Amino acid sequence: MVDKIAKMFYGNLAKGKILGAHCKDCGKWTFPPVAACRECGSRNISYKKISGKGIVHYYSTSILPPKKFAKYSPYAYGLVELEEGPTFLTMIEGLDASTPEKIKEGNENLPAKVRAKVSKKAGINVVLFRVVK
Amino acid sequence: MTAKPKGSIVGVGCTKFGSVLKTPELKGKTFHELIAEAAFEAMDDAGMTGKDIDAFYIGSMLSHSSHVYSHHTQLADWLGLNLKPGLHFATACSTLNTGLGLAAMAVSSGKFDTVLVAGAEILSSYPNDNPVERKAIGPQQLWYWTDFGVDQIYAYHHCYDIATAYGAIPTLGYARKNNIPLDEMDRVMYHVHKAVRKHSSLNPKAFVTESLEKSSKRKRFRTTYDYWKSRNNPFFAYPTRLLSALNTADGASAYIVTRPDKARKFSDQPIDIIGFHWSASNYPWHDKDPTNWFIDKVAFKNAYRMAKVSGKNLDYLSVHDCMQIYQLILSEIAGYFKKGEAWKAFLEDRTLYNHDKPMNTSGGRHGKGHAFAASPGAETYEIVKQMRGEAGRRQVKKEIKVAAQHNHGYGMQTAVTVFKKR
Repeated sequence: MVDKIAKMFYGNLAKGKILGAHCKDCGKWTFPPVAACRECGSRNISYKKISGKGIVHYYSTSILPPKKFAKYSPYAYGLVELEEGPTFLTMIEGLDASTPEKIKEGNENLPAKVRAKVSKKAGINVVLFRVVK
Repeated sequence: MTAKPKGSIVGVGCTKFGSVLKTPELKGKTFHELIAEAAFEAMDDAGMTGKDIDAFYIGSMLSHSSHVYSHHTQLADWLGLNLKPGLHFATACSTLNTGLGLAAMAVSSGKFDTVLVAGAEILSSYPNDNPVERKAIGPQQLWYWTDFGVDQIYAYHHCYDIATAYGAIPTLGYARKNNIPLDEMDRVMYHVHKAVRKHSSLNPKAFVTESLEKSSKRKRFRTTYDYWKSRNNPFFAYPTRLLSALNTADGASAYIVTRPDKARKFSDQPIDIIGFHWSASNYPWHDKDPTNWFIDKVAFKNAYRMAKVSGKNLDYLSVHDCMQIYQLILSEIAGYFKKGEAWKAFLEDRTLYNHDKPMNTSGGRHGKGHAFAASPGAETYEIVKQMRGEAGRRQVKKEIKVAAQHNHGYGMQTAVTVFKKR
């Protein structure tokens, strides 16, 4: 029997909780949570809150975002390393993606600390990150 | 001493890549006709008829635009293979590379002597409820369908941005890792693209047949680099410019794999498959270093181990370049260039067909064009033609004895195949 992991993840986002999968065998985290450990393949995992702390390493924006997200364009889409280890890509607040020059300058000032937040984008709650001082 | 062959390619075929709405060689053709054109060229190349083929594998990715499911059933009679065993398979844009290993395993098992593998993709349009009328697909609709290939539970809904993820971030990562200022990185990508266009301009079956220099002159720019930096070539996702990205195309490709001990019956110059491997990973396929591609390391390592070769033994390398930054990252992972050295080689134009480290001489996913599942077959076609000395004006000057082909399939899948000339 496999848990309804996606429902659990998105349901918890509505309550402000961001869950990852913690492996009871190897101790590694998988984020976002799936049915097995990404590191060792074990199904012996528990779904726990992540710290929300991370580091953004790179970001940019494209002139052809998916239709669903076009209304937010230009938005910073960045690569985040979570404190727990996994990497994740999503929208980052606090980084300037308005012009190529700003993106160049912004990347020259990375990596930077970020903190996760839950926000509604295109009708559903998702995980974003914002740059913290 | 390389490994024994697991299968031998005795015939190849490939259509022109372009648009079935516009390109004269393709205009008005159906999915079925594109497949038949590529497959018949491969069968003629091997001097075969349908009677010589024991099984057939048909690859394609977007059923939204082909309007075909279980493709091989419809194609059995179009290809003269009625009642033969067949299947439809897909690993997105790596499909026909994965097919090389599947076919080699089939003939190695003894079940079949000869397997035809063919693939097609139509990305310009879809049937307008009429078999001979098609409606154009806009870029947002095409990418909406294409993005079904990326993690649909999480990644896509988290503000997914393919051009940033696949183009900009790996480029930023490569530049930072190798201490290349971003303005200099732009010049490196210009050189990569210049090679793409030089090769495609020499390939009559390519989508883009005009060199970068000719485009620049036609638009009256003082230098080609001025043209590269102009508004004609905006940043698609900084620092990746539009010309560093793929051109979606319509087209088909095919090859025939037979038992190595029977190959001479069909070809004077069979090309042997001596190693292959695949690796699959969900998004993202790297860690905090966006050039540290585990799936490619695994696929190359195991394909090389099977073939008993290393990157140093390669006379030719083909890598998936839907974003041209991949030519740099992957040629280093493949061991074709030393780590941190590929960008210097590109600045010196060493990957051109007539230089010492030839790569992607078809024009790759921008120049030849990107007909998703069929693209790897176009690269196998290129490798076989190059190894036989039949590549015309873009013929690699030195002899190619060992070559490797890499492809990415959306999601991500990596397929690597190693070839050897007898």
